[in-house]
Amino acid sequence: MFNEYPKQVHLNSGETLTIRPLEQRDKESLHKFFVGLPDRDVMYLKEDVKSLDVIDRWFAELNFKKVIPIIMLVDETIIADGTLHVDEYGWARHIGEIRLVVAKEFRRKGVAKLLLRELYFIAMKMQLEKLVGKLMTNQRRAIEIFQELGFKKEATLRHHIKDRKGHNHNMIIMSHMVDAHWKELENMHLQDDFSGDFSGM
Amino acid sequence: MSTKQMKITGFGGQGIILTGMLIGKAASIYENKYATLIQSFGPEARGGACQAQVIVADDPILYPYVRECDILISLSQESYTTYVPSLKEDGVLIYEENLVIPGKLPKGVKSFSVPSTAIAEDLGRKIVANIVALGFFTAVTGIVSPEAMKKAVQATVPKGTTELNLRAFDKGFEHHKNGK
Repeated sequence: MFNEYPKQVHLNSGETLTIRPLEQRDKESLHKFFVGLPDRDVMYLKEDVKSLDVIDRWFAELNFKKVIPIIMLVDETIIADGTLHVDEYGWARHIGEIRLVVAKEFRRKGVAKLLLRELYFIAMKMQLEKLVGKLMTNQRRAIEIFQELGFKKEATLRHHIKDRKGHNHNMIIMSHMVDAHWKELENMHLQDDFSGDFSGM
Repeated sequence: MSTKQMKITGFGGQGIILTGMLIGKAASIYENKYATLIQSFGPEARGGACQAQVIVADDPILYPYVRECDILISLSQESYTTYVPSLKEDGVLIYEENLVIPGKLPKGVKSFSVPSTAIAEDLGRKIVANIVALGFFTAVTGIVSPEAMKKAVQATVPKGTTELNLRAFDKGFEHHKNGK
């Protein structure tokens, strides 16, 4: 599944980035990446990512069957981290959850979209049926990026997030019903190829 | 290029007509050329072989049916057998290498093969095999630019499938460019 990595992508701003799965050798770089994030960003994360203990635990528990971590780098510096979380067993085994963090200086350059797209491609290969992203209502640009890839707002959970300052925020769950989109294309093929009615294209 | 006449062929459900539509759309809307699309309405369309006839030209097209086929894209054995006689000498044949075994070709025909179904399966969706073939066709013929073709794909496929379709296009394009 990962034989095409590492691969390079070019931003409109001219920078060249490398995309690849996280490796054991990335521990220090990943910690440095999280330490460099503004406090405002980490305030909403589930874990204390600036703690080396947390990073140590992540690397000790690295299991690509449960969490697929993809990083983007400039030279050897991590500038974005994305993960696809899946359940191996149980009722949610058809669902993948996508999480993304991008370094402040690389925002509004298309990095988040590239990373989201990469995780989406991996999810397609894994034949996942539904993808979800959990965002806050004020993450407008992130919501737009998810929407550009076919995600829709599925639910709003009120006061679901409490930041480190004790303020509550609403959480939006965005979902992408993979099979529904592909069924639409399949129907398009059948209708066009058999009936010749392609007036709606 | 002044005029190129082509047939896109395969079996129903492979997205044959969509492929033809995308070539025409890319040429006419995004590259300011002229294009026509005709679907096979005759008895040959029943029972398997499906075809789209596309003409792309620099000047207005006065007759939309393909008379001499410059390029044949064949994504199934049956469609290959049915339509290869219409391919003219020195024409171009593009075929799905795991689904078509080509026989004797008209004189001077250049043939190119792509495992579009296998590439699409590797991407996770077999249904994008036609778009892999479209990318390959674009690289082989150069009739329409990849940028115009991708704009047409983006404007046509259902939202939510766009990114993987564009990736499928790139995979097909690279397959030829990488000399595979």
